[in-house]
Amino acid sequence: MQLLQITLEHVRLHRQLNLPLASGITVLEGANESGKSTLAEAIHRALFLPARTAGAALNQLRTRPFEADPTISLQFSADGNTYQLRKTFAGSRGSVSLSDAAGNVLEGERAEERLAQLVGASAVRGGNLGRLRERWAHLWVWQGQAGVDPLSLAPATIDQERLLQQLQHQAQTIQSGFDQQIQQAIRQRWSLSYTDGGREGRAGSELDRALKAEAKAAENLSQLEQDEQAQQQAQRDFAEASSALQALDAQLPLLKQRQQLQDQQQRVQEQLSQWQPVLQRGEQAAEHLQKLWQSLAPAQAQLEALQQRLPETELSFKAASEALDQAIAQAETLQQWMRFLQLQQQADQLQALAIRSAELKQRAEQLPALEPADLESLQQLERSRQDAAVALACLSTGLELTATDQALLLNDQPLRAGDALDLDQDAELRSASGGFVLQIRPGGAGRLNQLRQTKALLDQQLSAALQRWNLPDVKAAKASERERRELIAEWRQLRSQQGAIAVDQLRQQIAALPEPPKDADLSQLREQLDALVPQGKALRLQRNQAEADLSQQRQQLEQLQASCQSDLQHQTRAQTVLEEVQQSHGGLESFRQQVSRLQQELKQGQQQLQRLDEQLQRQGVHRLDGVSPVAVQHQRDQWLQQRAASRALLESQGERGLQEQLEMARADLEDCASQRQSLQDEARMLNLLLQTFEQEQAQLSESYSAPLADSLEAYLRCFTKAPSRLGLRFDPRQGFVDLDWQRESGVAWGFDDLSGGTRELLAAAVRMAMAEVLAPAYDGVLPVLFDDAFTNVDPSRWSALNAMFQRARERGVQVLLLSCDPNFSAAIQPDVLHQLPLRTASPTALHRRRSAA
Amino acid sequence: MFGVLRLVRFLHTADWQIGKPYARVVDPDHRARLKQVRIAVIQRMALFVQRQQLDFVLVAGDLFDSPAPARSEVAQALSAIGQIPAPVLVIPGNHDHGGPGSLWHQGWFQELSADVAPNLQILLERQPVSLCGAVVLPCPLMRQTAVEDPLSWLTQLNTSELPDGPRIVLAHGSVQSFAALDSQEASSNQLSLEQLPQGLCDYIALGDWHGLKQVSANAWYCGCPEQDRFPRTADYASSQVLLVELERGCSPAVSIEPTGALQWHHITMRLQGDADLELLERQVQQHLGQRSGEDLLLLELDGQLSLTGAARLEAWLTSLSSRLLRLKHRQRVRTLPSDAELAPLLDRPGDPLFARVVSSLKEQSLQQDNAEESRLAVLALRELQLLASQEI
Repeated sequence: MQLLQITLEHVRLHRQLNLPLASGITVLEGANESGKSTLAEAIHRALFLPARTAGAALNQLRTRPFEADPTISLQFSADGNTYQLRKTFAGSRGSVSLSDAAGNVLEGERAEERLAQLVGASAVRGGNLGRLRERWAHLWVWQGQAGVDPLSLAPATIDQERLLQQLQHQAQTIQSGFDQQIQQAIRQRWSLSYTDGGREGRAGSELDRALKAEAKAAENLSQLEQDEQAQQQAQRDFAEASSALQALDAQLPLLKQRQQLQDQQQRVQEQLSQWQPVLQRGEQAAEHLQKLWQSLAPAQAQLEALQQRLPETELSFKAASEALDQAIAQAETLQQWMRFLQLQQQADQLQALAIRSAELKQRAEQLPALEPADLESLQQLERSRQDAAVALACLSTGLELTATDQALLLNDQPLRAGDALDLDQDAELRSASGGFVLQIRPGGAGRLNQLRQTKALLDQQLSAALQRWNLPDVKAAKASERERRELIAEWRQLRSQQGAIAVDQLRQQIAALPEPPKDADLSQLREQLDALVPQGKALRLQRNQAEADLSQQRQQLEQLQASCQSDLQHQTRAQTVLEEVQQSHGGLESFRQQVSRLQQELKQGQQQLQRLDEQLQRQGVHRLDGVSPVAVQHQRDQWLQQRAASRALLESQGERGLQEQLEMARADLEDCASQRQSLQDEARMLNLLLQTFEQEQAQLSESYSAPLADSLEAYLRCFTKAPSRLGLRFDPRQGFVDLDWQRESGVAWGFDDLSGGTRELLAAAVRMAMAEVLAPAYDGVLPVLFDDAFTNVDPSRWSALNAMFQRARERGVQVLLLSCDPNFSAAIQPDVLHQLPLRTASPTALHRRRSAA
Repeated sequence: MFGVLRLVRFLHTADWQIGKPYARVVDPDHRARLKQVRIAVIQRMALFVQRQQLDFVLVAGDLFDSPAPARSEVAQALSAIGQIPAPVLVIPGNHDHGGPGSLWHQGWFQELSADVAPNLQILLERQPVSLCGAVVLPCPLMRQTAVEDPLSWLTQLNTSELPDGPRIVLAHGSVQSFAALDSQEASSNQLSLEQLPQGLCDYIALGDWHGLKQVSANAWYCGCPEQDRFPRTADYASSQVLLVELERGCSPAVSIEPTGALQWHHITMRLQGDADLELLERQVQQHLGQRSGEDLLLLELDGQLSLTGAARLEAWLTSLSSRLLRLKHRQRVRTLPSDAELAPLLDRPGDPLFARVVSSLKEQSLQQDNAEESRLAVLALRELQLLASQEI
């Protein structure tokens, strides 16, 4: 089918538009809102919208404002003929006419029907715009739909049936009517047992009923088996209770007897436990008494012997003590005498020292009490006076009158020739006549006089000081001071020799001591004392020995006395115990017999108990701890209850005929299972058949998809010279699926994983391959329209896109390209280029028409 | 004690299992017939007792199939027992044990029994019963599975107090050596015959094992009077009673009296191919003769058949089952389409899909590792064969 020419009248913004279409590539170029998409829509509606359609589909076609009913005329070739289709869309007034080259005209419904046959798809009635856009969805690429995978569209919208037919023709594997019939029959039977989702046991199916019946039978059987188990349990309970009761009935009298015996045993045991210690004490007392009797007599004899020996030992001790005391007294007397003599010597020495000391003191006191400081002061005074005298002497002037002829007077004293004197004071020399007077002043005026006064003062002071000390001069003072000092030192030494002991004190001590004989001598006395020491030592040893002997004897005596005393006390106690036994049990022997009788009784009781225990063990009672007739009675009551309960249950179930019901239920379950198995076998067999049919069909279809994939790969080679592989699978239920493109990277990319531009290219390639495959069914040609379908394709790939269009063009595909991009139009080599709005009345023919495909 | 000890003659039987539902027999008429023959055999026993003038009849347990059988069947059985001209001594077995709720304790049973079978004595106590010069030592089962050996009371029995005359132990349970033979048949009540004191008894009348078996010189399982299951082994003998002649201190004289009416067959065959079907048919025919409604057949087949053979076998079995009271069919026959059968299905150039499907199914039918898939594939091929034949 080839579109030859389209004419629009009063369609949206087109009042009148006539466009011839190339058999190869037609490009319609125009800015946005120039009416390109209107043209795409107009051709589509002419083909698929009935002329009498009203509503939105009609309104969209009308001009704004409305001028006249929109009319679309389409000239096309199909089925070996050329047709002129004219549709005026006016709702119920709408008209359609289809005329062929021979002049045959069809109108109305017949025209629509014929048109549907020619285009391979029926018109969309009722003005459903969604469904309308699905017509020729594989050939008509609406604006904005270029990136959609054409194979994801519904099989009906992409003319899949005819596509398959074409592919089957090419693959020469046509599914026969018989194949379809068998498959159909199997599917029909399959659907009786399976849900649409493929689940076995469709609700309401025979298999479903069989499955439910089997489940019910199983439940019934399970219930009966539970009842049976309950019955068996009740039987076990009953038997257990019966057996236990039987055993308990046999045990109970034995247990009672055992209880009585045990009580009696306990009483005997208690009596024994009271008596046995008493008897033991009695036995011990008797035995002890016996031993005491044996040990007491020799102890007492020994005691007496000791007591007799004691005075003798005491006497020995006393004699030794006295001898020692005498020796000690003698030694002490000697020592006191020696002391007396020593003290006396000491007192005499002290006396001599005291006398000397007094002498010294007296001598010292006779000397002026001149202290060294005082002496120093005197010496100082003397040195000062001497200094003054020297100074005076130095200042005195020597005067020697060697000759005179006149009498001269010096200080009124005649001076004669030859006189020589020193002047140490102012003098006046004058002639007797008075004619001559000479004043002599040694040392200057007044100085000598001052010195003389100083000296006189010092002389006076010294003299006074010496006078005070009653000393003639300083030298005597010095000697006196030295002597006094030496006396005092000696005195002090004596005083220190005397020490603190006062002679009086010594005298008192001496007086307290016995006076030795007149001729006593200290060394003699010492000799006597030294001789006495060894004698004293020997005496002390003797006395100590005697003392130790005495002490030992006394200790022995005390011990013996204590021991005898203790034995006597024990004797008394033992006798008391025995007396008590005598009173309470008639004596020890009798008591022994009584205890022995009790022990015998206990033993016999134990044997009886053992026999009973053995009997009980034979009755099944293996552990007797805590078993009492009361507890057993309690157990018996419980068993009675269990027996009654299980009996009641068994009797109530006795009427039911459970075994028969069980067998019937088992048989029923087997029957149901067998029936279910049979139905399930059939269902599964059908499922297997259907699956096998579908698998085989899919495999057959693989051969269908091959030509399509080959064609597609040829288109894709326009884009890349690198080896690439296209994946495409035919599924009988879903159609062509799993489209992917594996390029040199080795990874197969699914359609949705590709970039926008690549998706547009691949989708276009798919559409052109489909058109190419379908073309033979449509008179060798099919149009494919792209409305702004390559907006995401990089301009660098436009030349490759052109190559793809050229390839399609050569293979019976009529390409209609609508674009707003003049550069895109320039990149494509169209056969015809229209530019909207139309500048020229006639289109630009750029290519020669291709030869017939 | 006094006088001369005489010979005691009695009938030893067991496991009548009156009321057995035969639930796996689908046809209700057949079920009724199977139940009826179990009553009829009592009547035949009555005639035999009369003819032989026997002293008494011992039923060694399982007279009824359950402790609570249907009253109508109890009534029929009691009436039949009432016709036996001798005392009939019965102990409860594991199926009709004497526990609480069992029919033996029911008032209606006791009244009915007194009315229609006054010769019937139910032995529920473990104590010696003196009868017609003999001493019966009953070992009744008082529950389905006894805790202790039912014979144990006999080991403590003071035999010096027993009256003179031959002594018969009447017990129900399995003897160790036989328990393993048929786990389905034997009860779990173990009898230790070897524990019985030497010389305690002269005959041990046993029940529970449905086939005839002599356990020791004086111990016998009598089997059922009317066979009730398919024989497992070639020497399995059922459908009989034992006539026992006994004297104290002597070995028993036991004779076997056949009593059964129905025939139970067990045929096993390996089918090597379709041709063996004829052989099978002939063999079955030999067993059945001209009879109908008198036989029960267990058919165990394995081997291999073609699609056609399998269809033929199926049709023949349908036909056969109408002649039988029960056909129990254990089939392990493998159906394998023959090349001749598959050729017309495969050779269909005009129907490429069909031919491919047949080819694929053929492959699946031959695979060894998945038996279920292989079986389904064969079924599918049969289906396709059928569909193709309908088209022709």
